[in-house]
Amino acid sequence: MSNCIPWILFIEDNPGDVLLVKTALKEIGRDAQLDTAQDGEAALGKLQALAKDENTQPDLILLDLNLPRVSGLELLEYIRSHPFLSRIPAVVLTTSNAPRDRARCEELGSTGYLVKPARYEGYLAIARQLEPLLCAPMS
Amino acid sequence: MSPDFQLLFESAPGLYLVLTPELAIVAASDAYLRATLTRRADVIGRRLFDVFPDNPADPQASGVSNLRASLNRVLREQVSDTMAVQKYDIRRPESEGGGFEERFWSPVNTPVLDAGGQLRYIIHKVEDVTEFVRLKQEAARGRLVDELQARAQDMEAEVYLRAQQIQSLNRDLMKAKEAAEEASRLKTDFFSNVSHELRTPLALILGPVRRILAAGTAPERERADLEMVERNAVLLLKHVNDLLDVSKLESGRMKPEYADVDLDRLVRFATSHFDSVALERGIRLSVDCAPGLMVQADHEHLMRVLLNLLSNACKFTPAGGAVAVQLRVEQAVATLTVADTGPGVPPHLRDAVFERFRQVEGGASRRYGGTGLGLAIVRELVELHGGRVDLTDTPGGGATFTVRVPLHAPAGAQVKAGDFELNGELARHAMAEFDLRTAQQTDAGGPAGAALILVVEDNQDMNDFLVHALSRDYRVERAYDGEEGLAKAVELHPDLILSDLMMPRMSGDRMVEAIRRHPELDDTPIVLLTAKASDDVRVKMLTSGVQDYINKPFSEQEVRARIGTLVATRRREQARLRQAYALLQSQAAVLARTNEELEQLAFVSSHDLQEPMRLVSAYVDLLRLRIGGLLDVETRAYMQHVLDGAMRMRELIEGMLDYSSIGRNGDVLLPCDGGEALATALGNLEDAIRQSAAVVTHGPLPVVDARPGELTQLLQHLVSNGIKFNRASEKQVHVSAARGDDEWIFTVSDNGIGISPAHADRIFQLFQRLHDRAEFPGTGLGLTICRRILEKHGGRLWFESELGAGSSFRFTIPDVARRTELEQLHSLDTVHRG
Repeated sequence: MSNCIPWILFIEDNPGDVLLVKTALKEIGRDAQLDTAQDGEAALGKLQALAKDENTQPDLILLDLNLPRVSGLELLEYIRSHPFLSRIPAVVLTTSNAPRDRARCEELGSTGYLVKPARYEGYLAIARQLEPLLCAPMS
Repeated sequence: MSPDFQLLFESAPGLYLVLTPELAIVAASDAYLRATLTRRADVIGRRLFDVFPDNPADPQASGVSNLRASLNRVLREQVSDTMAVQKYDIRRPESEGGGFEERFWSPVNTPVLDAGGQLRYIIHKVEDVTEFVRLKQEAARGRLVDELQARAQDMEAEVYLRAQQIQSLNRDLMKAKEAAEEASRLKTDFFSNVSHELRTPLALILGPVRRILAAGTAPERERADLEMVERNAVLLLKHVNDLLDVSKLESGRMKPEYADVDLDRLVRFATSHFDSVALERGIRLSVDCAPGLMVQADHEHLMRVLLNLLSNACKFTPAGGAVAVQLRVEQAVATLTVADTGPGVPPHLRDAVFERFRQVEGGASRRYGGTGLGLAIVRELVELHGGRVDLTDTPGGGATFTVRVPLHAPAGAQVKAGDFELNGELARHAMAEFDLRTAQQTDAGGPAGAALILVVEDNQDMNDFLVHALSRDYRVERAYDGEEGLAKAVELHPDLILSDLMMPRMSGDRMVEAIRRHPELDDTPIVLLTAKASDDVRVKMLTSGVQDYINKPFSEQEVRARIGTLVATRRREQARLRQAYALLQSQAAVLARTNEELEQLAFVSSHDLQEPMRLVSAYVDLLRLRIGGLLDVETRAYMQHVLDGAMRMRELIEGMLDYSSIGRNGDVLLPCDGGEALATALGNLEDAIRQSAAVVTHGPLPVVDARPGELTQLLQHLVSNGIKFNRASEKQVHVSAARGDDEWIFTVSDNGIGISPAHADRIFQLFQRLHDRAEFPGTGLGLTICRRILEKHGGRLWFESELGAGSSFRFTIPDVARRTELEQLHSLDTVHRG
């Protein structure tokens, strides 16, 4: 286990969810720096800023689909269209289990698709799933 | 001098034989010899019984023995002895045929004694009683004769009776024959009387009409009407003339008036009238005449013959065909042939076509009109001239009529000399049957938006008349026979059809039948025009889908009136129907919108509701993990309840989400493999199945048109229920499918606790549960969701069950075609239940 502190851009409008993820990551020993954006528009702004500097890229982008003003899908599209951003793993974390949404995200090139769990254990499981993506050497 | 006793004896009138005591014959009278057919020389000196034996053929012959007995008595007692009547058979000499002849003799034998008392001779005297005996016999026979006579008399009486009967039958026959002849005479008289009565008014119609037309002052519309009047009056006149001639011919009153006729000129004159007909019909008409051919005949009769034959030929020859007229003379006989290239006449009808009123094609669909008198008249007129007409095949197909008339009038007939006019009127009559105007194809315009009426009528004049009568108030289309009428009816969907009954190609009644077989024309009113007036024809029409009928002849007002009411009624009904439909559609639209909104609401609410619930349960979970150890048992229990509540809430919301999202997306129906859907469902139920150790089996499952996720959901809920509501030691659930009418019927059956039929309605309603949560977990939404899925697929859901005896839940997935129907029905159905 490396000593790096993972930097995650978490695009999620619900602070409750953010805290759960953070807590779960901490519990598995990955105390991450969580950068959040609480609506789609703000997120877009952040992404645009990040896009300018190729050297400062987060390890992971986690995004909800259900966002005010600009939807997760649009953001995903933006991410994948930008050369710097597209190299960052982008995992969708959302309530919807609809096959249509899954398929759409896959089409747009998401790295993964996770459904928000109802039990805390579920968050632990998610944290474990995300771990390999954190502090991974940049390729 | 003493008499010649020998001569006396031999001539004595009696049959005498003189015998010696040895019974030898010494003398015989001539009479005896005659009676016995013997000669003296043969009998004198011979013994009696040698000469006259018994008939050897007669075993009963006793004559000889009786005689011998008698003679012996005489010899013995020397007294006279009379014998009874004896039958003797007299031997006939060979020269007379031999054999024996029967004789009945009554002999007396007398002895002759000499002076000393010695018997010297026996005199055998015979009375021939043959005749007497015969008479007696005949008397007996006479009785027989009487009997025969009596029988003969009886027979005579019978024969007489029979003769009487025959005679009376003959009388009846005579009467019947007289009656028939009388009837025929009356008919002929009737024809001639009535025909005469008909011609007068016709002449009074034609005269003025022609005058007006000739004056040329009538405006165009009136002119057209008058021309129609003239045309039809001439046609009527032709028919009347034909009937009149037929009756004249029948009663023998038609006698040819012989004159010298230039046959060539007559043929050319007649044929020229048919040039325009031939041209119109695309027929090649050719005339080939030996010039200057004179014949002694009645020129009007010959004209009639020729016109009728030409008319026939032109009627039956199709476009592109040919009619050839040829005139030749051979050996004092003029031969006229008219050959066409029509369908010809089959051999078995060659004679029949010349019969009066006979048409080769009968029935309402015959191609050509006419009274069937033309050919009959031809034959009669030709035969009146001592000629004959024959019917043969034209080489290459068609009929050839050959008329042969002798060149000369019969001996003693008066031949008119001088010139005569060829009768053009006759020709005009013949032309009346060929309507030379081209059919007008432009349909009469009526006010826009008016009802559309289809007129089906083969007679051009009648067709025009009807169109003209109706086009003021309606839009009118026309057709000229049943087939065209049917095609136009299907194409145009008129508001009303007005049709004749007798038409070529397809008659009116057959057209009505065909029209009624089209469901979209099922309620189009049809009015028939008919000349047939009998009741059963009318009843037949009215029961076969005809709304009304009009008898010919009819007036314009009558047509308009009848049609008017039918059209108006129909239009009102249609308007009402359209209104109702529009109302229905708008209501359905409102409802669809409302449904959609509700669905949307449900979806959004549940989605938004889910989020917080999820967080609640996640955090409570987290808390429990973090601080659970620090809490006392009670407090821990509270937390657990909160958690349970949250979980439960989540499940309910999830269920509602499922419910509202069914069929929302407008997902297209895809072919779903039932087996795969079930496999997915079982995968989702893996934990439940493992925990309950249930055995889930299935039969072959079909591919159906469905939304895949929903089919899986459906099966999942039903199988889940089957496992859940089950206390059996070996829980079993079986899924199968069977084919129904345009649908598949799935069955999910279990050996669970069963459902009382009393709960049939409840279990499908939202949130209804039959058991408390401690007994069996569940949201009470499962079956409701299933029902909704089925509704959206156009299927049905029901169950069969008994408490304690397991349940079978069945649902149907209709085939796609039927589904659209059902979906429409369903949306109307929800209107109902509001």
